[in-house]
Amino acid sequence: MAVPLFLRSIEETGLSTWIRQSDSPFGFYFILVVHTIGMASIVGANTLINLRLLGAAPRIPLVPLKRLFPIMWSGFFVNAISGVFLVIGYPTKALTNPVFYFKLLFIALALVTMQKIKNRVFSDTGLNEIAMEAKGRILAKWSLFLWFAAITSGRLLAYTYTYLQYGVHS
Amino acid sequence: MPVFVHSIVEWIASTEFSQLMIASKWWWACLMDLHFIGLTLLIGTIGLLDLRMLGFLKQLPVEPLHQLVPWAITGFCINLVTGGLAFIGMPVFYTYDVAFWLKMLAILLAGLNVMLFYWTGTFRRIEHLGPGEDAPPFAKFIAASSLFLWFAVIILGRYIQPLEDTIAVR
Repeated sequence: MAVPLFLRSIEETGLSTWIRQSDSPFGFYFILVVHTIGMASIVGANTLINLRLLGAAPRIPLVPLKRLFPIMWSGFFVNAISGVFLVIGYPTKALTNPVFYFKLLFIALALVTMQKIKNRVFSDTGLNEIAMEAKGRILAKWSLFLWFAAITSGRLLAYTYTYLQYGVHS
Repeated sequence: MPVFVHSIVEWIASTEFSQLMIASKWWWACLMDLHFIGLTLLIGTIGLLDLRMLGFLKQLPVEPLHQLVPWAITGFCINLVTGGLAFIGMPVFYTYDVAFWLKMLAILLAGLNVMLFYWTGTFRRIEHLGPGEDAPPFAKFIAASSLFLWFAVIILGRYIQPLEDTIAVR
């Protein structure tokens, strides 16, 4: 299957070229750092909730952990935006790599699971903490797995790409 | 970099174990993947404890948050091991990279910060804080330093790659 030409068109834009080649400290690696911090926020907070739902550190009250959801969503938006800039910098590398699409799929599923945990566990004020744990257990396990899969796919992107840029094989 | 350090580093690079670490890109990807998971565990748990000490998420009592510390230590140990193996795999690359040494310094300072937390008795002072209660100023200083230093570690870690070869060989 031929590599679509529009990917080269993106790479030829000023923004894309700047992201790849700029000596500025705000170039590609800065965007990557922002992406890493966003990841640490959303996955770190989500992992904490998941571990708690699975019974770790049981004396931490569950109900206040609902306040972590804004942090998690902020982390996601930071990563959506930084992610877009990363893809603008290396569109061929990302969009011709099947692993990238798996990453997006795992993230989407992890977010759905996160929202389900919020709605079924945290938003039902009639539940006591034992009931919350019971309701959230399976979702917590799925969430842990899905974020692990998302992080792993993300890491593998650096080792599985076919084209660094349009016309440039790895 | 002094000559004797250079000779030790070159010797490590010449060993079979070192070659083994970089023989497979999947193994390397695995090391890096676990490194990210360790960092997420560390930031997710310590981050929450630090935020609470700084006065956020005040509905949480402090003592149960301290139950999360073993998870943080687990994350740190995973990173110590994966980081150590990575260093053995590419000792010259890391030794001549200024970001790597700054990262090590940040980790050292974070460790000193932890020691301060326990040895000055600050931990005992905040250990029984309930929901709504404020931590003393010195505890807030330790919490702020902790957050700052661990984020610095993450950021410097990301900058290892682009800052390759920034220390001269003597």
